[in-house]
Amino acid sequence: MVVKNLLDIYPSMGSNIEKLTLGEVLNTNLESQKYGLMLNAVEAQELIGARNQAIRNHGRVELSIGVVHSIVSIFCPSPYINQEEYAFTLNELLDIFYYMKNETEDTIGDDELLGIMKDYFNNSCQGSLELLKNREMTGYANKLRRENQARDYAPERNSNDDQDIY
Amino acid sequence: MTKTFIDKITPLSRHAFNPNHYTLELINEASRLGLIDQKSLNNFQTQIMSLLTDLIIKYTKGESTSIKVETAQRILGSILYVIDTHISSFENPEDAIELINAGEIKMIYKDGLDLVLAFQKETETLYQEIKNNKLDIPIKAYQSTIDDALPGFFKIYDAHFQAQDTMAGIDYPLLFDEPDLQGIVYIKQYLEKLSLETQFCRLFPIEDIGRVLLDYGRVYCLDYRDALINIFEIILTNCIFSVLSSNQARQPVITPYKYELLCDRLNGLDHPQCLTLVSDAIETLISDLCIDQAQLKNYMRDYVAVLMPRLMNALNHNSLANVVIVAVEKDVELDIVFDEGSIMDDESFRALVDQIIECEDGAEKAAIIASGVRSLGDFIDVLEADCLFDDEFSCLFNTLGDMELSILARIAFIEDLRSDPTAFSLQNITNEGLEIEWQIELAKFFPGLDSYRLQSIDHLIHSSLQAKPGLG
Repeated sequence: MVVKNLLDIYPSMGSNIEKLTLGEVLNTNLESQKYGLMLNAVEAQELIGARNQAIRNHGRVELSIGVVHSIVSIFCPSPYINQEEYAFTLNELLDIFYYMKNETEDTIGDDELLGIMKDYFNNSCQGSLELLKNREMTGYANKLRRENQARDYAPERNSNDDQDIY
Repeated sequence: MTKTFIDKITPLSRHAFNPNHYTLELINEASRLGLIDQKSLNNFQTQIMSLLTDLIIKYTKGESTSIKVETAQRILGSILYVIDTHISSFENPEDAIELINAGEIKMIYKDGLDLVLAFQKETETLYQEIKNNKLDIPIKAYQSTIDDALPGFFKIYDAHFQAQDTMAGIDYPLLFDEPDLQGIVYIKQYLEKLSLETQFCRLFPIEDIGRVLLDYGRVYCLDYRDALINIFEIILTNCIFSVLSSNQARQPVITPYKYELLCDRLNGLDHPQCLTLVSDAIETLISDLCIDQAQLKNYMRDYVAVLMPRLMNALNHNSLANVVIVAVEKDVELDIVFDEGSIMDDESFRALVDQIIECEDGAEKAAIIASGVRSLGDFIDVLEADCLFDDEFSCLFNTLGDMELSILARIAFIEDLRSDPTAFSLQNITNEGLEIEWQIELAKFFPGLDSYRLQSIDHLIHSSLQAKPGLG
């Protein structure tokens, strides 16, 4: 076909998905070094691979690189992150983030979701990534889905505001 | 010298492309023919993806930088549907290619969205007209499609993010549907055709339509209210044959006598002769019913292609009665045959009674009883199940034939019959001594019948007494 299969989103969106460059990732060190946390070039490259893999594994399309910056700025102040595990923790947090976007059925925004993750991570989980994903965030997602279901099947639904896009 | 005419060849035909992938197929074909270059192709794809990015941001209200692949594909499908709607509206596909070559893909999308929204508004107005003119016919698929499915569609239809979706439980079949279409374009054609069909059906008394449908149910051994049948097709078919048998365009009910005339007329005719007769009959219908709307005329004329194979097949197999719905004589109209072998089980009986209680219309209650009850025992149980009130009894009795009424009379007036069988006559009955409600109502019902019919029922009562002197 002359026109590519447009519904195959990944190749179609190739030129539009903002590519995460090594320089972009290393730039996050400007923020993280305030807390004694740094990524070296190898770790930065691994983070790019982990982010791309997480997006594909969770069947998502990402339009910008903002989430990496947000994770760094939100989690770096945490007392439970140290330099030895910094790169690994960022990779894991990215994966949990995309996993949770699906589990919450895209009903909460990026900033709100990262805020909730941070609260659990710093409090009930005391820095445990396993507890964050498998106990707190999974429980949170189940509760949210039940609430969404109850709302969707309520006798009177709120009609969506009609939006004028163009 | 022979003149040579050189016609301008238009290599692109808009009918050659799948309406659901119109633009992409058109672009591919135009590219093959050299009507569109690689630069325009690249620009098309880049702008489509830019549109997708814009719409994803709108979809997430700017709160999320990522969405599921399925959601992105759905939004992309919506963009292409909107563009298809605009691009396929060009009579000449080359004009559409010119627009694509000009590179204003976002403008094409905007114009397409305006068109989709205009279709939505126009279709909602048409829906209101159809709802206001809805036929009072208890076919469930017809009623639920108009009352539930279509309002449900309009409630959730989203021209911005899911323009291609046709999320509606539309069960009622049209005579000529286009199920391959999608979104608002599908609903638009559905309602336009439903409107034509409704206009035609409203030219006839609703009682006649109901009568033909009841007979249709009898021929095909089904309850027409539950069947997925097209009212227009059944009525148009009978009208065509009504014209052929007796030149009565406004009379869809075909009596056995008219049917005999019809058989005589069609007997031995070949395909071209039948085709001429059917086509002429449709023109007679159009003329006699004063149908002046071109779309409805063409819709009716298109039916010839559907009817002819069925008609020829029926004539070849001597089964014309399956194509023409012949009215059954009124006295056996509801076909309540008291058959002691067909007693309902308790569960079915309770379900039937519940259905009768839920129904608020006497005539409809009678129809439910007629379709569900086969035995005398069940019939009496229904009469005594507190599910009929006041004049609903007479609605039911009105649907019974003489034989059934004579059986009920023998039960209700058994004391009178025992005391003096030879003197008993329905002309003299009273409700004195009767205590059961249906029997009192029956006593009130008989004086309303004409004397000829009362004599006929009396005759049946006395005949049965002679045959079974030990009644009771």
